[in-house]
Amino acid sequence: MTELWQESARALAQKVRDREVSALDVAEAHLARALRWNDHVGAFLHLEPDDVRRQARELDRRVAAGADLGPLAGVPVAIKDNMCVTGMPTTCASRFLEPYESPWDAHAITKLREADAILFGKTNLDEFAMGSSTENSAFGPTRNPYALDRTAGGSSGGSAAAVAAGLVPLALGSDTGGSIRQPAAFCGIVGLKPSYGVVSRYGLVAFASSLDQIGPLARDVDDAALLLDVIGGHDPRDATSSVHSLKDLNGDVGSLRGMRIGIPTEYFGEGLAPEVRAAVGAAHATLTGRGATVTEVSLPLTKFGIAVYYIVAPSEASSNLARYDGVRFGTRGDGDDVSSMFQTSRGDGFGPEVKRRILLGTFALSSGYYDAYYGRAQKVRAALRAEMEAAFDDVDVLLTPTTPTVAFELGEKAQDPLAMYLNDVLTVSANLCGTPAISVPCGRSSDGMPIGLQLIGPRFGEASLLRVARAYENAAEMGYRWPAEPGA
Amino acid sequence: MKYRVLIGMEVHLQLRTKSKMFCRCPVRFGAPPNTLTCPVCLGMPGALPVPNRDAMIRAIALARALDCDIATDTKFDRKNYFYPDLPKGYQISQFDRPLATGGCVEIVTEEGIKRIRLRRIHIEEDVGKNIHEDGSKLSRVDFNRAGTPLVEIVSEPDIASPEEAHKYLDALRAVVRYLDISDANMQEGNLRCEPNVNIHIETEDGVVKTPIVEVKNLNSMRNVERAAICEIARHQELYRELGAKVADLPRSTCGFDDQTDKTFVMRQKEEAHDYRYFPEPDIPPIQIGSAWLGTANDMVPELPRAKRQRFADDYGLSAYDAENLCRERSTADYFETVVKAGAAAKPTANWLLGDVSFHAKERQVAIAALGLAASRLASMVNLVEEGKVSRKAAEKDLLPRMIAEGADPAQLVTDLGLAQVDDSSVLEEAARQAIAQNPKAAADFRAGKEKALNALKGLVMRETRGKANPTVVESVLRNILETE
Amino acid sequence: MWPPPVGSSDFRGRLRAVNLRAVGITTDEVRRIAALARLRITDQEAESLAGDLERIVQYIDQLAEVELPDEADSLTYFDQDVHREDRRGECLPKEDVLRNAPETDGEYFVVPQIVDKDDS
Repeated sequence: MTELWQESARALAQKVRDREVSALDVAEAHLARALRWNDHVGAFLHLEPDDVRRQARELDRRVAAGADLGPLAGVPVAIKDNMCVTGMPTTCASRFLEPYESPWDAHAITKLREADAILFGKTNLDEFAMGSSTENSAFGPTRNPYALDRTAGGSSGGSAAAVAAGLVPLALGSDTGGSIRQPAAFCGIVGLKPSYGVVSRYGLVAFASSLDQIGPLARDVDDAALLLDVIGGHDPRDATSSVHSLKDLNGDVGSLRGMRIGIPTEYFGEGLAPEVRAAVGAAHATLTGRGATVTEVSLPLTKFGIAVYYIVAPSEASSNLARYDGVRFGTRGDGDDVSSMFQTSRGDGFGPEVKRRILLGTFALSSGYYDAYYGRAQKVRAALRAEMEAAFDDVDVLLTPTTPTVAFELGEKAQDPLAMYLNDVLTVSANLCGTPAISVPCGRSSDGMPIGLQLIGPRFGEASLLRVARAYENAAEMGYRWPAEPGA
Repeated sequence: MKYRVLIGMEVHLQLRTKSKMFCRCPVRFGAPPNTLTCPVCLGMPGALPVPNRDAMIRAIALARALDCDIATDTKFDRKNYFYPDLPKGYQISQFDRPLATGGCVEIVTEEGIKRIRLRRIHIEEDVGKNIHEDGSKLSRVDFNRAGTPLVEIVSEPDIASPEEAHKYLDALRAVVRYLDISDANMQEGNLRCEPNVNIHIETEDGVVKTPIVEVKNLNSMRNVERAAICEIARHQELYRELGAKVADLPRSTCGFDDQTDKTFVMRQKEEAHDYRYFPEPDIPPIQIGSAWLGTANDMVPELPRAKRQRFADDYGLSAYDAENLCRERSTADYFETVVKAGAAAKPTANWLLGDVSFHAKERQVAIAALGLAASRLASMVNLVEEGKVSRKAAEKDLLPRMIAEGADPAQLVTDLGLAQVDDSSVLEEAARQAIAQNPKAAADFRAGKEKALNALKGLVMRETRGKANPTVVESVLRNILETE
Repeated sequence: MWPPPVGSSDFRGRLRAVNLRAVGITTDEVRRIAALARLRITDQEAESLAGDLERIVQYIDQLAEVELPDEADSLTYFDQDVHREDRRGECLPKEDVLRNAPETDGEYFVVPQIVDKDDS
């Protein structure tokens, strides 16, 4: 028999709507599993069972009263702890914000509430989403459910691990350079970074404003599409929120005849693990079997993506994180005068990676260096985007690996920031270009670690992206492999 | 010492919008601390700015009125620095693509009209307020003001004297008030200015330039003028002390103490601040299209300069009267309404700039806000002009009541019995009585002493309790004395 | 068609770069930047950060190689209005404004004395 925690979000919402199960039943099933697993994986920073039960009971009362229910009725959704949720802490996994409680909800959270979702808890991340392994959390790392000595990826590691292990069917993550897709690939689930502007950033604690995007993590493509449908849409409180509305996200699984898939050769260079290369190769065969035509394309600027990213993102971050000065919120350090108070508050409140990026960004923007670094990076970024856009003249989606390797061991790259940065090499382009990209599981390595493939679409091309992803998922018939019980 | 004064002015002007520049908090002065704030203007984690369209349009209207070149593409930038009153650790401002460049402010000098060229106009957000208490180890911060829309207007160093600095601010303020986009009140801080002052001294070895000093904390036009005078004197002093080496001194920032009327050096800048400007990623670049330009154009009324000229041409007013009437748009408009209601222009101008202005100042309101109906003022002006009431009576009895009670002047004349007596038969009797009472004066007049007539006139006026029309009295007296 | 040829160059870009800057990032430079960013760092941190930043910046320096069109412009994503009408909305209740502050007097945020105005 399928347990409730194994069900898809679609199935759970249907059962709650049909009064087959109560929202409280759904909540209890996930709570039991989450409370058992969390000590082992460190997925949640905040999990308050009574609050979850309260929300579920409240929904059950509305079900009993015959209320119209939203598309996520009774579905537990975990939220990366860099989104503002009233009634819960919003720490960004930072000592600085440890005591912070937002007095207002992020736009995506408002949408979840309107859709009758259960806000299940806040998940772990690299401090302020800066990292690729969730090791930069001030509150301890998240572990990969499939190998507890390995990373779950990052920065949305907590969300990915929670979904992968069945602690929740859905989670929100944020993706600035791959922070949804990479942990999704490492944990064997689906992670979607929408086009820039599709999901309002209002209430997402900013890391790099021109790159950040909220997106869904789920165990299958349809659940990811469902969550995207709920949280997407124009928000007048975010000047970068698009008025473009996405349509046909939940299209049927048909043939891919006529669909043109591009293989950017630069994504298959040296440094790509042979097993990853093989798994993506198999996926390519599966897609052609579904009627898609595959062509090679060239994106020669790809190799500059990391260099551009590690100028643009830290520069914006150095400014976005200036508000953490100990005046209005967060922790305050000692200091007899305000300037020394600023320095101690920030010096004590931020972890090493956050400091590193603030300094890198401050350097790149500082007088004398601006043109050579920030200015140059923005120009290369524009060229990168032009190159990507041109590629979409000839193909509908691009197929690449999501990560060069499977999940690495905790501690493996922690001492080498540049090695850690290079792990983002295949994912940063989508952020720099504002295009949508999705990671879909495409097999396992010989030691059983998940491998993900990445599909990149043109801006606002979510519908065709999801169509290809769904067709692949359907044809690959891999099924979902649950991780072994911890301690078993 | 032969020298030339160079003053460039940086003016910050708060725009009078309903809501702040990037959020929907009200723009209001004097609310309890931190009650006009929200996640955006407090810089809370996750909050995002959305620009206020009307603030943009008002700034464009100002740029139009000052003949600036308005950018077709503009953008916001972040100016990064730390200060407790700056919520986000950066100020949203404009750096390399300001809203407008060029343009000028015209001032009237003894040599005629002088154009002070403008460098740029840009939009930014105001910061909060720090409250320091002397002797305290603490400061308090109020963010009500944070996020109020500001325009910064930067002039070229074309201002050549402290008086011109005052005139520049006066002229700029007049334009701003005509546009009705700001209260432009220095005391309340919605117009703030920082003059940049230095002097170029002519020496035998060429021109010696003193280092530029920026003066802060000026809260009145008078202080701007005073501070500039102080600085010019100080620069001359520095030159006397240091000679040509004065040019090597660093730029500095000064404050002004209005108790002692003196400037004092706050700090010397060895190097420029590193503000790390970069394009604001939360706000995409903005295109200024024809719709905004059209709306902004419609906001630009006839400006003071054009109005002054027209008043002089159409109404035959002196340059002085025209300038004073046109200082406030509401006064100029009021003047024209009174004239349209049938009053003659010149006496109307005299009344407005004289007694009416006096009452307005006493009540600390604009002339147009006195509550004096234009039609009533017109009828009062006419009553005086037609000799139906004396100027004195109008001044003393009519105007105060018209202002206080909204009374109708014609009715007041009747009610108070102020109508001038110009019935010559009535006045002839009074005149004969006066001659009888003061035969010496009569004799003196007849002997050619013109002034003696005044004594007799005074008697007649006293007899009629001031209601006699002085012109008629005089002619009746002359008639009797010269013909009998 | 499949598999695509293994690229001759590493897709991670050139991992070892020549130093294009006259001077590398020294601990003094790190301290200067840290002061600008208002980050208190220890001497030990300054040292290790100098090494990290130097390596990262050397990697980034390969951007100098990219051939760009003459006037490469920065971003213009948006073909939509990005402004709002001048309408008033709700302010945050004062309790919520002050709730997260380290120190207040119930009305104002309270901070240590301000010694030098804008010494940034």
